[in-house]
Amino acid sequence: MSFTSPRTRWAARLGAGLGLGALLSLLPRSASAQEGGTSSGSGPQITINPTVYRFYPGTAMKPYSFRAANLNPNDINFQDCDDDIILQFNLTISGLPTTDTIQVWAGTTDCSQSSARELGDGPYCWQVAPPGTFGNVSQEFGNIYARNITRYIGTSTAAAEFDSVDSVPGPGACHTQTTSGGVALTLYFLYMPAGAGSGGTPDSYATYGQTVDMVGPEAPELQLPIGIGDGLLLLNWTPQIDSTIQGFLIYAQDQGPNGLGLGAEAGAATLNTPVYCHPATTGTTTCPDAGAIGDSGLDATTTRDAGCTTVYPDAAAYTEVADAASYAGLTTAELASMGCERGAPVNTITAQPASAGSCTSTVLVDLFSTSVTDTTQGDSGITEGGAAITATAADGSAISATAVGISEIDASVYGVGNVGGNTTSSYTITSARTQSGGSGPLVNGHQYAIAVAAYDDDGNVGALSNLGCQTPAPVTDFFDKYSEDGGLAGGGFCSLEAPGAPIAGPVFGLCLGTALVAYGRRRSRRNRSGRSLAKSTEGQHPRVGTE
Amino acid sequence: MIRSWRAAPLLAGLLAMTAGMRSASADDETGVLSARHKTYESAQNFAFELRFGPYHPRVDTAPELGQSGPYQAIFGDSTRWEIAAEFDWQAYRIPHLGTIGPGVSVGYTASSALAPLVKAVNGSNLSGETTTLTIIPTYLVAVLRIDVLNRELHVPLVPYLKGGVGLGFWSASNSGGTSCYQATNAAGKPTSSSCVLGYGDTWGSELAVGLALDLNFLDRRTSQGFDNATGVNHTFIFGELMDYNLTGILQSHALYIGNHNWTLGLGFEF
Repeated sequence: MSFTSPRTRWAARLGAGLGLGALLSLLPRSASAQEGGTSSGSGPQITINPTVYRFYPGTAMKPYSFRAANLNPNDINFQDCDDDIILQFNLTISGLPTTDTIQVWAGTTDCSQSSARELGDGPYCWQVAPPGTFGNVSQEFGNIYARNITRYIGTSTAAAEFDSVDSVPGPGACHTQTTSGGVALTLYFLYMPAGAGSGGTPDSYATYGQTVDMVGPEAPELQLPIGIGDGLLLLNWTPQIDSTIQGFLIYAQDQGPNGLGLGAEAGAATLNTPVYCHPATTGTTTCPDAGAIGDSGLDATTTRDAGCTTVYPDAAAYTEVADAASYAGLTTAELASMGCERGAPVNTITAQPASAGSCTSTVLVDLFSTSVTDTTQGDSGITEGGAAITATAADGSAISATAVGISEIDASVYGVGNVGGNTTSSYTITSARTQSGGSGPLVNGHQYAIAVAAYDDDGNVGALSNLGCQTPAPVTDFFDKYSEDGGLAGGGFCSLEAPGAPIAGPVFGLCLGTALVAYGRRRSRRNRSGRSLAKSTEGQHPRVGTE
Repeated sequence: MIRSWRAAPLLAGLLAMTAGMRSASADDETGVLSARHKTYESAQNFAFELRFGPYHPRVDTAPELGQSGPYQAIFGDSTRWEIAAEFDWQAYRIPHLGTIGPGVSVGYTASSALAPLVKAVNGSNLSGETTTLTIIPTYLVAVLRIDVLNRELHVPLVPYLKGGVGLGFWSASNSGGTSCYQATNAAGKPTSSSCVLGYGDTWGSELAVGLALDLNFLDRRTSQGFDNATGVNHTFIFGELMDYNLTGILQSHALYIGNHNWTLGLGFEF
């Protein structure tokens, strides 16, 4: 943050370059007449409080938690944008009264220049708060939504005034960044002359450095096959070389026995309508026109009116029929005449057994990937999305490709591990969310789909690794083998069992006692010989302990 | 046992080498000079050894295991190594023979391998789990160092004998932590509600015979200066044949973790 005028603008740039913007913001600068402006000769001064509070969107102004210190809590990351948090700025304005108004613009260029806010050659700036957000009073608070700051990153091909129609951008505003790493934006709080519009020259302005990083690290490569253990799975992966990586998240999905559980299917869900039938045949049928057709008072099954209803004494006795499809062509009346009725349609996911080598997951999928990079120009056939990133070179050969983006998997559901360090490359999974909900130990015989993603110093979780599936299984470790072969040892220390045990005390006591006796005898000998030697060899160092 | 005596040629070589050394050092060993050096030799009460050698736990020799050989089946027969340290107190000097006193030793060795699966998966019989047997061998022994050759005949060889009580601590583990064996019936159902943890201790005996080569003969002036500066009287290398027989003395159930082998090391007397 810094307050400056065009005359002292160089100071702000230097400060930002050296990372001293926050310090400079505390230093008031004198304002002066602006080019093309209508300043009275001494413009107002703006000081921005370096503490910018965060709130959830809405009018309740519920505080939004800051990230940990190692995750750049003042940056805007993907989650901040996705939640569209409110950044509340506190301005202190002096030099009032004036008729000027405050406009807030963002960009990677100097937004105090009118050309950056008008059409022409880029780069450009965009307005991040509607007019009137900051009033012309000495102490003012104003709210800026995160998505209004991020919406034009990477696409600032045209200057943009605040979009009053689309004042609340959608989630797409969080996918505007196309390269990994932070984008150093500057917010310009421009004190514009009344009636100057967006293209005018400010009387004065203050700046606030705001880093935005909404793209996570590149995907690590999960090494396959995943190691099998007894109630555990052993992962190894190759991390990308990226100093911003702070750690890795490990995801696992329980796909049930042999992968037959929900979520392991390769096909789409199908809409099925169940049919319930009552086993009793003694229901009471009422037809409003009974006898009208000329039969014996009760319509025949095939000809009775649709208005007939049958009420059974035990409504709870309806049971779902197994072959609902065979009832598909019957009308509701016809079903009713048979003591049946249709239930509400439900989506049924048909689980498929995992064939050899197949590994799919309906949940461990990247929802968003910004780009795919490869090493060869002109390659084609690149596909992205899902867990697999594949690319085909122009000559048909496979090439390496990596994706950057954001993994939006719910870590609270499928996250099974979080390990720090940018070179960490292994993890042992011992528990995961069970199919019935809740966390539990891995089950031998259940297939688990597994993926890994790195997270960076802004807390962004990057693209998923390739997917791996594996099934824990019992193993025979050394102690199992020893015991199965008849070995009986184990169970703890201090296992002496002979009469009079433990032996440790007597043995060590005997040795220690012997040693002490020997030591005592030797010291007394040494003292005697030392005294006699001192008498005979004055001034010489006596030998002690050797013959 | 055959393995243990493979080091015999090594000891013979040491003896032959030192026989020639005696004549080489004879010029420095005039009586007057020797007496003066002895006068300034610091006190010698202790010895410290660092040793390194192969370690093959004799687990499979336990009679209750029959011919099954669980150690061999899991870890194979590749050589595992032990590193150990020993501290001796040369409590008593026997005139014209050497020193005798107690000594204690602590070592470390481990055997690791991938654990086999109960049933093969995709044609592979090995899991990703590592199974490990860790052993901490210790012993308390009486040490007799016969240094009369070195001290009175100026042959820099010191044979020695050790004998005493051995105690080994062991732990079996896998990737999930300490192993725990739960017996099952034919249907695969556990026969008890608890499992047996894979760790314990084994008592036994320790016997060793070795030969140390006193390195002071290489440069007596330097060694004298080293003694004056640090108090180290002798620096030696040694080879040793050991019978670390941990079979569970006074124990009803014990994992046989003893080792019959050779070891090499570096020692200091001070």
